[in-house]
Amino acid sequence: MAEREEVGPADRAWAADQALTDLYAAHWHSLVRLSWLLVRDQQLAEETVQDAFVAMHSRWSQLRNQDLALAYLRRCVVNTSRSVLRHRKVENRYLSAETSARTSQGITNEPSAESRALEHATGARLLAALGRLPRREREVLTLRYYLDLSEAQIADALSISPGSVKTHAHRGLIALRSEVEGTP
Amino acid sequence: MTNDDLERRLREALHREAEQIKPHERRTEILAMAHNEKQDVEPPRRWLIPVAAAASVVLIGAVVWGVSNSGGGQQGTPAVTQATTSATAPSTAAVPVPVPSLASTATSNGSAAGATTQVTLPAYFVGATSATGDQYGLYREFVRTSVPVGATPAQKAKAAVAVAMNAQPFTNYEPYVQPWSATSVKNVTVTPSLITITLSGPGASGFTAAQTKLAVQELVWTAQAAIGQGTVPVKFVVANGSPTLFGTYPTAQTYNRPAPDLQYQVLAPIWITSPVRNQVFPGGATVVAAGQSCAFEGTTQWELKKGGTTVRSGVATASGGCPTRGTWQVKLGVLPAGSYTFRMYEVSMKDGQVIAETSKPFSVS
Repeated sequence: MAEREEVGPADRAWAADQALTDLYAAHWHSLVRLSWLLVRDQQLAEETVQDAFVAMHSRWSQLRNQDLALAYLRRCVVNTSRSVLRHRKVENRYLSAETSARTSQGITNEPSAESRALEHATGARLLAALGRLPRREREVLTLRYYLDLSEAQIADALSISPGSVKTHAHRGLIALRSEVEGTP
Repeated sequence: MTNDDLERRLREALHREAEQIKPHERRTEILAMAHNEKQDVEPPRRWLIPVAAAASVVLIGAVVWGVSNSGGGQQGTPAVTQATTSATAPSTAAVPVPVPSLASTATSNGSAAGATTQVTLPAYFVGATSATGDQYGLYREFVRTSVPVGATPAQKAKAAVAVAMNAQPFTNYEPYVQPWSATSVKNVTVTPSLITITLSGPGASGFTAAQTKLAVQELVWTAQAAIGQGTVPVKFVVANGSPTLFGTYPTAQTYNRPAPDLQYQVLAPIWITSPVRNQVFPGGATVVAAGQSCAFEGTTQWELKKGGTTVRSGVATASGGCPTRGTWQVKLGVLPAGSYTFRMYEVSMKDGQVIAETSKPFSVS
């Protein structure tokens, strides 16, 4: 129960807050949307990313670098989103969801029926097909084509090798192509 | 379709899809929680520090800059700090920190059977939304409490509901009422489709219908928030077999949060989420007040008091007007050292009366 030696705790807290504020400004929206693409529930997505930011803040003294912190945030978001999915078994929801069906609160701008019907028909089929892919392939493709991450960054976020990223991406794209081209 | 074409279409589809959701503002909540989480690594005895008497003493959940142990370092501020002045509800009573005893706190290796750990959970309380005390709404507090190590969502929910039902520790400085006085939570169970809360009794008597309706809602919101699985319906069971809560709300039915466009009926019109109560900003820090409101045209007024004197005032415009619950932010800049109170209020367009208000004390070191 000894007193802990605190060296500049106010400064350290300030630095962590600044990092959190900067990363929040730059990445809150995209990370929530990434999580939402994986779990399809806005409230869960926001809480997942919120927890990731809180965890990042507590580890700031080890991270001390915004790039490392962002990579840490991505890992947290992907891992938590995955465990949420596992817990809720919401893959079924994803599979059954039409591309615009919302499970969450606060959705205010449903796309119009006509835009769904025609303009985005291919995109809708692609997203539906994406939802049917094995989890890892879905994660790899989402990180690559939503966040535009490199293979190395995806490997870090998913804790797999770059070679596996390449394999999953390749298989996923082949599956998507066959689904889309095979669908009238 | 070429590979490039497929990739382009997938990229566009994902972006189009993702951009249809509008993430809510949570920065201040994250900062508040981050500071509370950080205290987890501190020696547990800090939670035994008695809160000194006086006006609006600090509480759990207060964000503290530069935490150190009491009486310790030269630049830290104790987690439980000195009293500061407040515009509301002074008290001379000693207030125990409403965190459970440490009798079963985790041992140093953190893995002992029956060990507990401190977590921060959101809890909702029923409080008056203006000085006249005739309107009520839910306020949210981030509260530290103990849960078993590796707690299940149900255990977290039980802990959070227990905190929400005990408004007494807050009543010296917030206009909260205690409709669950003498009632306790016996159990919480969770399935993907139902949260079941077992209570020792049906709730206290002597409260208005508006207050008891909110009392039910506060448990719904608190349990759902602790579990974090969305708006799962909540069912109540009263251990003594009562078929209703407060003699009014049947236990045979389930309860849920209102739809987003009706949540203004439940939540207090104005929340200040930053600063948190008795937050201590280091000298030279930029102070930004932020919160949520559901006000006509999203417009509220604010004032910054130092001592009893209003030193600044202004108008804030939220991101949306009622019934949309918007977020607002007021940049106060760098402030001289001292104790302050930030008050946000809404004035009726009809008669100029203050129809909603809340305030938070903070200080700059």
